[in-house]
Amino acid sequence: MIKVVHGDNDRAPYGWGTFASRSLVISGGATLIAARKVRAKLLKIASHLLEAASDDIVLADGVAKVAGTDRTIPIAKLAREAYTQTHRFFFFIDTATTETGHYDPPGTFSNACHIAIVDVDVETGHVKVEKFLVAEDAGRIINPMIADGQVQGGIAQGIGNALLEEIIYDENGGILTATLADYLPPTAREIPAIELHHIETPSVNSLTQAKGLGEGGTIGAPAAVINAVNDALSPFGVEINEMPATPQRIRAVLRKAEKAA
Amino acid sequence: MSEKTAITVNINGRDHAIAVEPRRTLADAIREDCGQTGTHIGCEHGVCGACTVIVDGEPMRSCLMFAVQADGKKIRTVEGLADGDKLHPMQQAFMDHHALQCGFCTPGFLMLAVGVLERDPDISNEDLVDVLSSNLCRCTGYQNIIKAVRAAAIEMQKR
Repeated sequence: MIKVVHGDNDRAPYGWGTFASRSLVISGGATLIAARKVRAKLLKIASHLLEAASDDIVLADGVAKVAGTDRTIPIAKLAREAYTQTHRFFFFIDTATTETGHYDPPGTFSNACHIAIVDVDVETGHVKVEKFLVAEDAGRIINPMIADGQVQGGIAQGIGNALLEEIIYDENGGILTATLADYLPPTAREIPAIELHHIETPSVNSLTQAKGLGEGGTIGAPAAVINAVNDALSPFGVEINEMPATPQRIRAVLRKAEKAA
Repeated sequence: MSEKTAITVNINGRDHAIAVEPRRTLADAIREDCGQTGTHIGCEHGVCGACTVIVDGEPMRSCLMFAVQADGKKIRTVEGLADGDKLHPMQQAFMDHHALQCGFCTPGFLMLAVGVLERDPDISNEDLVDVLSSNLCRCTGYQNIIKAVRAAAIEMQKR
């Protein structure tokens, strides 16, 4: 059984942050270090119980197997033996099957390419994101479903940043967007189908060869959306240089162009 | 205003006889007075949908309804979706399609989607996205939620 204990500063050593979505880089690496230690122990226990050299033992599919034979023992049984039959193993290993791994590597940097296709209504200033495509290189993808979810969620936040979300203050510094009725995160209506591609270049800077990836969605998406909006506005000779590109801002630059004409 | 009114709400088949101030929202009553904390409270003014429950068959934002208005009504919350250890098809689909990350909005999305599909099993994709756009999710970007609800719609029709 693997028990995951989440964030508690009293339990974890000091690190320099999870920024650039490197939770997986850090905790994945620490998990790998700890798991390798447990694995080394399991091999020794299996070697003892199966009476074979530990080099000849393969751990796979929940069992320890002597390579080239049909002699196996379930890994769960190895752990149980180590726990309940300590006296059989204590002379060659520390039988506790609990291990700790510490890991705080230097930064890893993923990179991505974002393409947004938008439709700008010049009458109303409304922008509809028709389609979004992203290719991200976050090194080795460990859990594809979660990786995709991180990218999709990041892009949704980026689209929100580009078109909707803004903290507005009045002249006295009072916040005017203090509720979700004024501060607008995107809904299911504003997020288009997102076409996702991963390019897996294993990172040499992390034990798992993975890089962080969540923020890649958030960082790239606003630029792609605004560039697409400006491309759509180019026939009018105007551009948006402030986010979010609200209907008001788009109409304002278009009005300026209409007046100048 | 602090005088309490005795009401009975039925949550997931069980009667809860409680006494609430007139201003108590149904969301607070469900969580504080009935101890069913699966229903989450987000914005408390009807925008985010995290507190969605099903009241007499209709998805409802429980922060926009007073508890006294729910007197005698049948309420379904996320705690009532699973059948023992067997998850409701909607919950299973949310797991299978990774339709949640932090999970805060999930009870609301589950109850919204279940309520809508029970009422309108053949809802079009367009209308479904429209309905789902009434709840907010900060993590998923919605794509997987939409996928999960579509998958669950098929499973629910088989039942």
